[in-house]
Amino acid sequence: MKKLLEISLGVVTSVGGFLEVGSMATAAQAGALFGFQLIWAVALGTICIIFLVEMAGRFAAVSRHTISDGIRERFGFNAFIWPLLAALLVNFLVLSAEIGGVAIAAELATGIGFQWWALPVAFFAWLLLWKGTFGLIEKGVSILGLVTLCFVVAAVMLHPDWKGVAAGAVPSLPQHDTAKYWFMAVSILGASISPYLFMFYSSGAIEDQWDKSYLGANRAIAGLGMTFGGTISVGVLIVAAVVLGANGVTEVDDYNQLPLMLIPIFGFWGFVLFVASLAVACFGATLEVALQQAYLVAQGFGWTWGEDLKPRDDPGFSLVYTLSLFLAAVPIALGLDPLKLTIFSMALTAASLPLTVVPFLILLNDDRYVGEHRNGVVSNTAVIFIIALGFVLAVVTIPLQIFGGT
Amino acid sequence: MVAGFIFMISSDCNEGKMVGPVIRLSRACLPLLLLALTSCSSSDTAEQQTELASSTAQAAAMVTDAWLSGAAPSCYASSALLSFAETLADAARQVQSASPSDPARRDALSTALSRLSNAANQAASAVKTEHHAQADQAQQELRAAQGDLAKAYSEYFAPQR
Repeated sequence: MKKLLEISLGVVTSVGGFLEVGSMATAAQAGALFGFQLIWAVALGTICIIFLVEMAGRFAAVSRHTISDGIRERFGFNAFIWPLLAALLVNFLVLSAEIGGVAIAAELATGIGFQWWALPVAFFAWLLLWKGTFGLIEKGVSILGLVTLCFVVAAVMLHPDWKGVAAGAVPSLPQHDTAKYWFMAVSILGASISPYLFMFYSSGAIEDQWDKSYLGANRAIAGLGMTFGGTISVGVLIVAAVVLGANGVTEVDDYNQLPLMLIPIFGFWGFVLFVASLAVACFGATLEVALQQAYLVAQGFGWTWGEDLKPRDDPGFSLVYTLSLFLAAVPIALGLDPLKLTIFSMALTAASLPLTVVPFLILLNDDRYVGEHRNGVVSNTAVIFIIALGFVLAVVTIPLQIFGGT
Repeated sequence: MVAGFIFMISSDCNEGKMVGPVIRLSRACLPLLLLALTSCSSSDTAEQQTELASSTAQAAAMVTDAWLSGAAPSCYASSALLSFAETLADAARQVQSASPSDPARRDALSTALSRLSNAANQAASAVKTEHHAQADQAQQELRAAQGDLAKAYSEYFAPQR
């Protein structure tokens, strides 16, 4: 009974924590410009993150190591420094984008420019991390994140062409804007397969003291939680396609266009639901990414770490999330467009994936860490294929997007 | 800027073994950069800016509709409309700075974009002052300017007589 409750709570947490500014913005842009045609990218990204999250939980439960801990121990610090730097850089951009997401929500609600909200948002997040516990961060904010289910409700209420939706789950070539199509596919993959998601999950498993008895629960949480989470992203894409794209709003380049997704369906409450979804989803992600930065550095350098410890007991860990939050708020406070930063950081995430995922895959195939629970052929092949696809597409499309190819 | 970057890479090519990987990388990137360079013609600019403007104008009309029906708060609607007006004005400037074979057609396109921008600005002011009749009028002006844009766009890409 206790396990069932834990699984349910884990699934709810995964669902509530799945949507953030990256998945919301990329799905909205993709739906508006390409209709249902890029649903396959969301599906592929979700399959990949299911495998990676399951692996991260399994690795933590069996080896009692977090991913960064394992990589440093297995490959040595000199080899660990590259994935560490890549993850820190990408997480920094993602953290900045998430703070930007909350700041946009605050601007939409109050009319006061998003720049003014960046530092207060960072301060509030810092206060929660400083005073709060892991349970509060993990479950409290994620449960609030269930408000994002409004996109699924909206998608159903719109009665989309379900055959078209199903057809979109199969990869197809674009009829127009080829470079943009592939860039969007890369951004969606990057948003779905954010390294912070599975790295945070492994740290969380250690914080929650998982052991081998949690392997079943881990599988259920990864499978169900991520599938439901992916469904919300598909919901955003469908709503964007039917409400924005079908009405001629095909270029979602301005965050002011985003609330228009829900207003025609729910009226004024659509506006409220959108603002609440954006604020809660991005704030939850802000807390998670900031914590992940601290986990990465503390685990990499072998410092004491744990969100449940008092800051005076893990000063290095606390210092890292403090610095990360305030530094990441600076670009937004200086007026950098959060939407553009989001899309770019998601594409960069896809490009950086091999650096973080390949060492992790090697660990998952190492008997010394996972023994009989090592990876199977299917999970190895699926993850390698999707990561390679994301990497190749990112390397080709990022320069084209920057220099304006069509 | 891109051309400068290519020149920078080529001029550094023979300065020692350390630049070997850079040379290889630059050779691999050259086709991409050239593709990017060639993709920025004036008709592309006009096409891209018109598509962006058409989408932004439609968003402006949707926001005005939402505000008129009480589904969007004034602070959001006015700041969104101002932002859309700025995007439209920028599109007009970019089209105006392009150098096509027929300047008259370019001017017509640019004028239609400016009209859209003005209409979005009017809508923003009306929303800010909570003036429904003016907002309604600005909405009609937006629709009319959208028609102008569609006409100017099709003429811009029509074969030369």
